Amino acid sequence: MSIFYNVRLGIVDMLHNIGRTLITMLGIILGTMSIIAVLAIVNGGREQSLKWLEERGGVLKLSIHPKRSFDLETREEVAQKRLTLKDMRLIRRYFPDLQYFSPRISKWMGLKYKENVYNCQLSGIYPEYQNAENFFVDKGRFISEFDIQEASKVVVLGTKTKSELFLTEPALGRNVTIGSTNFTVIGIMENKEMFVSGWSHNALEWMNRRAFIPLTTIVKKLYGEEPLSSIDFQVTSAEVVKPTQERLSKFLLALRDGKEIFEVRANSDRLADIEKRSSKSQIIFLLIGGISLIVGGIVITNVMLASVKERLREIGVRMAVGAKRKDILIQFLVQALLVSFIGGAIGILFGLSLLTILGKFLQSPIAANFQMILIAIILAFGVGLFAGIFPAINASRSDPIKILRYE
Amino acid sequence: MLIRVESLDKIYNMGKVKVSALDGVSIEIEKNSYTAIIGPSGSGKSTLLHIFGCLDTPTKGKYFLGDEEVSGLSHNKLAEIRNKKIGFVFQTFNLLPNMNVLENVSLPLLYAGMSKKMRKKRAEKVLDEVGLIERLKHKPSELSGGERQRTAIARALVNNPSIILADEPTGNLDSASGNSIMKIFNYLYENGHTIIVVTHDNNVAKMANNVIELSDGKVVE
Repeated sequence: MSIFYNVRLGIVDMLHNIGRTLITMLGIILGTMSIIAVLAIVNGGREQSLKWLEERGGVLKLSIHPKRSFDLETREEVAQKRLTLKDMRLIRRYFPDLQYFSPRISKWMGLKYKENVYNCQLSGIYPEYQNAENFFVDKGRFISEFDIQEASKVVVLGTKTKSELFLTEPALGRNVTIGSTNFTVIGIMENKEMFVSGWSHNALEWMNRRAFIPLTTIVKKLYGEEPLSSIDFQVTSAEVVKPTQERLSKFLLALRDGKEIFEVRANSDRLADIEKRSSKSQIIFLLIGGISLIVGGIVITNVMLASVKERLREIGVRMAVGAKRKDILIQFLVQALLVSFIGGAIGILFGLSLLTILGKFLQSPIAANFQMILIAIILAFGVGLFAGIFPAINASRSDPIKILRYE
Repeated sequence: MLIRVESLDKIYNMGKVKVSALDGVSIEIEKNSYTAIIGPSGSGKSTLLHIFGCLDTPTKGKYFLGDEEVSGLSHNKLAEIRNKKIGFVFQTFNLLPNMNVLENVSLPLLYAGMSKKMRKKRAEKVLDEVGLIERLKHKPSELSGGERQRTAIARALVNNPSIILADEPTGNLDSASGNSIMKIFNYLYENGHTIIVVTHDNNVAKMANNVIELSDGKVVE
C-alpha cells in the first residue's frame, strides 16, 4: 500500500469535489499567506536596519565619546573631560587587538571655493578612519600617514560638499579655503545612499556633507590643541565586542579616577535592539497567522468528518477486500495533509505576490527567504496533521459490516 | 473440511431489544463444494455469510477456516484473512464509483501489497475469465447490472481465495444477467473453487450440490 497510491487517491478525490476542496483550503491559504507576508515585512525592516548598521561601520565598530553633561564645571573637570591623543595611545598600548584606531576632531566650518561658501562638518582624522567607519574614498586618494606627519594642508570632500562648492567643475587638485588657510583637494569620498521606508530623502546624506583633513593639521594649523570628539575603532570578531566594551569602560574609569566621563558605544548594541524589536513584532504577527491557520485546521477537520461519513460505503468496501485500519487511517490522513500542503503552497504563492504589490504600496522593504517558506509549509503541514488525525482515526474505526449490511 | 462452525450464536443489540440472528448453528462445508444457504428474510443467512467472510464476528461459538480458528482474531488478522482467503460478492455489487473496472478489481491486490505491474496482469487475467476484458477503463456507472456483478466477481476472484461468498448475487439483476452470473459460479465451481451462495432464488439453489436451510437462526434439518 504505497503512499503514492494514497496521494493519487487524494488528488482524485480533491478534483472530484473541487469546490469543496477550495473552501477547505481557504483557511490554510489565508493563514500561510499572512504568515509569509508578515515574516517578509518584519524581516525586510530588520534587513534594512542591519544595512543601516553596516553603512555606519558594521557590527564590529566601537567608539569612545565624552558623556554629555550640562553641569557647571570646574576647570579641573573641564580638563579631565578632554579625550586626548595621549588617552588614545594608552588605550592602544593596553588593547593591542583593536584595529583601525581613528581619533576624530569635528568642527562646523565654512569651506570656500571662489565665491561659493559651504558650511559643513570638518573632521580631522587618521588614515584608519576609512576602515573604522566603513566609508571609503572614491576618487583621488585619502589622507595618508605622510599627511599626518607633515600636517599637510589637504582635504577630502564628501560628494555633497564637492557639488555645493564646485558644482560640475572638477575638484581634484584645486584649492579650497578653510578659515584663512588654503587646502588642496586630494580626494572625493564615495557617495553614501540609503532610502528608508517613509522617508523620501537619502538617510545617509549627512555623511556626504562632510570634509576630512589630517588630524594633525586641524590641531597645528587651525585650532591648536583640541579634545577629541571621538575615537573610532573595530574589533576583530563579534564575540569580543561585549568583553572589549566592558574592559574598555573599566580602563577609562581608571584613567579618570573612577569618574564616568566617557562612554564606549558599540554598534552591536543597536543590533540587539533591532533583533529584539523584530522578534517581538514577529511573534505578534505570527500569532495572528497562527490563529488563522488553526481556524483553517478546524475547517479541515469538519469537512473531513463530513467526507468520512459520506464515504463510509467506500471504507466498508475497502475493508471487506482486506484494507486494515491502518490503511484507511493513512488514506484519510494523506488527504488532509494534501489539502493543507497544497493550501499552504497556494498561500505562499499568493503571499509572495501580495508582497510585491504591498511592497510598492507601502514603500517598505520586504525580504522573503527560503526559511520563511519552510516555516509556512511546516506550519501548514502540522495543521493538516492535527486536523486530519481525528477524522482519519474515526474512519479507520468504522465497522465494515455495519456499513455494508444495510444495503 | 474447509469451514467448520460449532454452536454459533449471534445476538444484535438493537438498543434495549436483543435480536438473536443465529442460534446454535453448527455446520461443516467441504472444500471444492457449491453450497446454497436458503431461508426466509431474517432467518440469519446473511449474518452467517458475513461471519464466514470475517466481516462479522460471532457472539458465541467457534469458527474454523481451514486449520485456523478465526473467532477471536484481531482486526488486522481478520483483514488479512478477508484479503487472502475470501472473495465476497454483494447483492449491490459495492464497486467504488470513482474507479474504473481495472482499479476496482485490483483493489484487493493493492492491500495485499502487490506491485502495480503484477496487479494489472492478474486483474486482466480474471477480467478475461468473466468476459470483461473490453471494459477495463469503464466506470461502474457505464456498465450494465450484469457487467457490474461480473466486475465484482472478478474482484472476489483476483486474490485466488479459498472460498467465494456471494450474498444474493442475482438479487438486483434481470433473469438473463442472473443466469449468466450463475453460469460463472458454476464454471468456477467446476474449476475447483469453493462457493457459498446466500439466495432465496430456487433456481440458484438448484445448481448447488449442498443446500443449508435456515429458519429463525437455526439450521433446518
